[in-house]
Amino acid sequence: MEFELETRRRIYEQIKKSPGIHFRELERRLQMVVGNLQYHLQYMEKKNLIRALNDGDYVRYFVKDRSLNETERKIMSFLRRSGCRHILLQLLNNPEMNNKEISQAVGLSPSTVSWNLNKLVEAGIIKREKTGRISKFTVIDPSAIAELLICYKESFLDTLVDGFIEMWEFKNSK
Amino acid sequence: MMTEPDQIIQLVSSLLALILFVISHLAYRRERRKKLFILSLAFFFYSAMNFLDAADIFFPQAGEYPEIWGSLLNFVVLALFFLSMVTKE
Repeated sequence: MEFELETRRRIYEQIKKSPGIHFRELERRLQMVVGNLQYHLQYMEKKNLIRALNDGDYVRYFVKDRSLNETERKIMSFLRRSGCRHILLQLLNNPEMNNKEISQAVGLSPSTVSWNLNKLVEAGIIKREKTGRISKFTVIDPSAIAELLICYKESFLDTLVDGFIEMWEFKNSK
Repeated sequence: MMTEPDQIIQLVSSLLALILFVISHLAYRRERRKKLFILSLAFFFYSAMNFLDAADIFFPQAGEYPEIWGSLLNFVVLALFFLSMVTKE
């Protein structure tokens, strides 16, 4: 999942950088296998992230300008927090993880993970299922998160704010 | 009496503290943690303190502001930093 997301993000970024780029050029720049590139382009077209236009000679690709709805905006605000972003990535790869497993995977303290998990549960992005004394967490709509992760690009300001929070909380940077 | 390079350094420090105030305020709006709010206040007062020190450049006719204000702001900034350290969520 993480590898697929990274590949799709690379393709998305390349199309964004060169609007109207055609398939062969994309293949050359990204050095990807034709079938693999086709598969990801079709996925992103279906998810309305990019659009393809045939100019007669070539099929050209463009990034779609999409305005985020309220839920997507809420998800995006969580993706801007590096802690939440890494927790969501972990949960996308391995659903039904508990606090301890997430904490080990993302390298944050259990209390910080617990704080972030509560916020994500409150926002309706993940759900908590209790079995005995252990709570397991799962992303409610994995495809929505995956789509937004492709478009998400950390800004310089995000990096500054993350750095500031980490500095004052002495969290492990992730 | 302060020399001009001193005032320029204080003005630059004031701007830097203002940037830190904006970043810490954004961090507070994102995380909603009390300690980040206290820190943002500390940076704001630090910026105000340095700006008052360098204010002679812009308002020479205003004269020097009373030293007591400088000391008071200094104390407020340090107290806020201390408070942010002892604040628990």
